Amino acid sequence: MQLDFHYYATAAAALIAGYDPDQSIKTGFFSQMTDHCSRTFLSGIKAPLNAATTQLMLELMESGSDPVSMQDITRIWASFHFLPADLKAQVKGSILYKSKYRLICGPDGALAGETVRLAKREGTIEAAGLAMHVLADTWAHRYFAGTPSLVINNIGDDLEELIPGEDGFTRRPVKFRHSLTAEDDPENGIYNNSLNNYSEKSVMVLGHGRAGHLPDLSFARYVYMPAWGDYRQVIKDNPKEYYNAFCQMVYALKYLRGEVGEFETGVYDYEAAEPYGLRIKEILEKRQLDACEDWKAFLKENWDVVPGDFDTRAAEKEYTDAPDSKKDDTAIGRFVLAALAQKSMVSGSIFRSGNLLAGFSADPGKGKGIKDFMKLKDYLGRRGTDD
Amino acid sequence: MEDLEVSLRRRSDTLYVSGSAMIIFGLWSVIRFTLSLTTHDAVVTEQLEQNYDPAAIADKQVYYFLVYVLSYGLLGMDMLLRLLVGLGARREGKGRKSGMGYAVLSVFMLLWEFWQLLLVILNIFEGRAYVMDVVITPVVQFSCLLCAAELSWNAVKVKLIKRRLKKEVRDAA
Repeated sequence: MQLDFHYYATAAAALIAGYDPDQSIKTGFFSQMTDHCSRTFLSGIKAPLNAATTQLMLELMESGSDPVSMQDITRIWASFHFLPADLKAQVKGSILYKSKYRLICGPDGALAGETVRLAKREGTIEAAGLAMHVLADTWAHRYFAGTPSLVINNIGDDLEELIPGEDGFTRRPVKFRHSLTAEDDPENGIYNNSLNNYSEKSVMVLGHGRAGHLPDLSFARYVYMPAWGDYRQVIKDNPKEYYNAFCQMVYALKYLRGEVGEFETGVYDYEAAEPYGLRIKEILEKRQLDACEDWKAFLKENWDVVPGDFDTRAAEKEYTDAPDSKKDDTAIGRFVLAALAQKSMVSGSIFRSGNLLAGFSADPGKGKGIKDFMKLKDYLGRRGTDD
Repeated sequence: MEDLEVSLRRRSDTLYVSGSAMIIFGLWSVIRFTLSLTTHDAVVTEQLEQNYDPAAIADKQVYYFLVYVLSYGLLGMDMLLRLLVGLGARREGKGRKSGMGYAVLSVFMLLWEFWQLLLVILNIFEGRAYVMDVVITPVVQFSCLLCAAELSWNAVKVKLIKRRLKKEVRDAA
């Protein structure tokens, strides 16, 4: 998903869930922060690099294709953007193929539930924002895996967009191109995607690169053959999935606020979103590459809330100005802790399922692990939890 | 119906790949023959000398010329057949309109490849083969045979599946 949904739509979901405007904007802000917190960003503010929740294109290009680099990429992308739906999924194939297949992202998996419950235990707005990002991306990025893999993430060259019309949908073949400067052209069905160099472990086949931005465009409906599908086609209806994501976020945020006792996957608060449903669906269906203005107008119309543009400078300054002993009490400090916890939880789950694609994982609560994760152990110790 | 569509996609994909392989094997034959003329020219000349009959053709240069023209002519015909079959299979594999012609020719290619493989094996047993011919040529020839078999089989299956799908759509309507 893009900034329009991660920032503004998440803020709207928080408002519907009962958060006050300030908390709602912060929730949206830290949801979007998940797409910004790269090693380059963290290095600039001297924050722990292992809390990176994303990788820039340049960072990915510098990364090698050795096992350690592959594991590093998988740990980040599977933890924050392509949460695996079923780590025990059954499929015929080699151990390596099964491991990759089991990283395919999808909504309502066990890890999605764990993500929200972890944010509840963290108890911070920053953790809530991060969890909402992860949750929303399980809908947008479903059918792709957060590990470089041609046999999982490649798509057939027959992707067709379903264009709504008066008599239903018409199919229009999508033309993909690889351009660093040209924008997507939804009117003519021309979109950018990553180059296919037919290498199994290339970063070009990480996540949904081969489908370009289509999974992140809320209006897009398309049918295609995923490489893992054994010649079966899947239909991706983004307006419907994004609306489900929105209603699930409302439910999850109510749980995080304490209004709902338990969090269960597969539950979406359609009722709470219903008064705004028509307007939300209108925004989601509108064929535009950036819906920020529409979401801002939605927030203004309904709650008189006008979030500023996404700008990390104030948060960065707060973090860099704070003494070392107080950094964990800043907004970015809390986000870093939430990111470390999320990464530890997901990587650990992947490792414990017998899958080595995210490398080996140790439990920071048991005193093991690398230096950055010792920070998490100390934090858990101060909080007095067994997690 | 979904299973039929999945099967159609799989077989169409196979058809496209085997059609491409058919063309590439044809190109390889031309390249191999040309390479053997240039790298084994002494051997070729010796064999031509052994088979030369002055009573049939007085001028040796004309004889050599005719041999080369005939050889390349045959290779050209082989290449043309492969192009017809391969391009037809690729067209069908991509879902474009394609008649039965390429499928019929593919059966002929299958028999041709089988015959070629028998000749290669015969060459080995009669001691006429070189070291490379004992290993590489049979392997490549067997691959050509498999490719032709797969192409013929899938060409027929794709036609049958398309017919069945049309019938099912008609019945559903």
